[in-house]
Amino acid sequence: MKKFIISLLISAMLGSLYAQHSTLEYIEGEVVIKRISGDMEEAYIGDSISPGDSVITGADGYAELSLESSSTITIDRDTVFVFSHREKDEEKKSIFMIVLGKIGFKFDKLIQEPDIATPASIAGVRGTEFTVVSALDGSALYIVSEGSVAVEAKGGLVVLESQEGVAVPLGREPGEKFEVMIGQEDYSEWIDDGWKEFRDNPSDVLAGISSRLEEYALEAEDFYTRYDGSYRKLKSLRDKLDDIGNEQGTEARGNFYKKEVMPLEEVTGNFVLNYRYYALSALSLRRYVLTPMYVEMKTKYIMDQKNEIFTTFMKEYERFLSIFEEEVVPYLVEADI
Amino acid sequence: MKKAILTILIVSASLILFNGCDLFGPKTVSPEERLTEFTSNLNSADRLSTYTHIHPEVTTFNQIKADTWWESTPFTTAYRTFSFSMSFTSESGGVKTYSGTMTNANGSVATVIKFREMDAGSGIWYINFISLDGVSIIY
Repeated sequence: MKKFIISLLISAMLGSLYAQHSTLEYIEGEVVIKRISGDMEEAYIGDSISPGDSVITGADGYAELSLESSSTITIDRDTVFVFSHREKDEEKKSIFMIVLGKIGFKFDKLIQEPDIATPASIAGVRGTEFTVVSALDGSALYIVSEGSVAVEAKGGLVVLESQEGVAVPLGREPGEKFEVMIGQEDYSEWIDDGWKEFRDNPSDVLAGISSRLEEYALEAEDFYTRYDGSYRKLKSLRDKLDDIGNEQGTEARGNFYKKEVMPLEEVTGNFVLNYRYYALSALSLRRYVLTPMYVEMKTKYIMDQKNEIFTTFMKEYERFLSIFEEEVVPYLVEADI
Repeated sequence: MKKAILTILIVSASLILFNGCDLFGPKTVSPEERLTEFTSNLNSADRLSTYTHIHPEVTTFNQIKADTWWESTPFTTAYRTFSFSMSFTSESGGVKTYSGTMTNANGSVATVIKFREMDAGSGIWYINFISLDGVSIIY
């Protein structure tokens, strides 16, 4: 009975730790919510943002989200922000994904340290106030106002303290740390540089994004393989369950289930959560990074579709789609699309 | 006139019969009704819509749309038939908590299920959390 009460208490604590609900406190200009169901809705103050939803701001858009933990997230213009979740080292983690644009974070009370992900990097948060900018060319910029943030990319790790920043080019380790005069930074130039980089070298930039997609696909495959092995083992244990039930009765079956099968079910289920996390991240890349690139190029070269820059871009575009179709779609389900 | 009224009455009665109370606003789903629908889904052959009983604010909602997840958990079709014996225990911050047992082919396990409304006051309740024997399955 004591164990049951403790279990209930732990469950209740876990529930409050992992559930991160957020509400739109303020909006300006064009702000749209893409619901997990796929529906696009115009955003209104007071709207609830759920894990899996994306908040997308237009050229004049701005939004402020509040989390249950009294934390605030500010979403600048031309930004795509996705709230997701995955298992990491057997730990349940909230992931704030900045696919494109600029986000500011102010954590008053960290009930659970989230990870911040961009196409180029992933950052563990130990800080309280910082900004992340993700440009169209996939590169990311981290600026810390208060606390510390550990930024990891391609095996490289940089720990930023207050008033420090670092840029992470796509597919490379974080660069050198630099000092920041808080309040005097101008990110718009940096974001525009991402667009300029794309306009100057569209196929190279897209190739970098394709590499990121391949990484997501590899992670999804890796976790799927682990899931597959674990599920086979689980299946044979479940067959054994039936034998035990038939030979030794219901109580023996129940004991074997709780001791041997249930723990493996938890592990197997977590592998599914992980391969699905990477597949859904790849889907975000396709929706929010590839699509604006395609629209930009199609518009620019509408009258000159034989231009070499356009045809080279389209080849890379087709390569991206082919990787997506072959290596990501198998891990998606109809309800994702 | 009499014929028109009769027609309206027949159409209204049919709508109420086949679509619940949709004529008078969206259908509400109580925690008890949600649990019944969820149980029925778990016991059916088609599991593709099982995730629709889960609140979209559940952190793993997107990931658990895949059938592979349901088959990896204690809710697998291998353990049918499922039944729940749950009692209301508390309500706090718009979340109703029920505790009791889930019974399936493996016997019974201590279960906690929490429900949350889609929007405050909508009357449409979804499963927001499930733990079995102290292990969080849906959170």
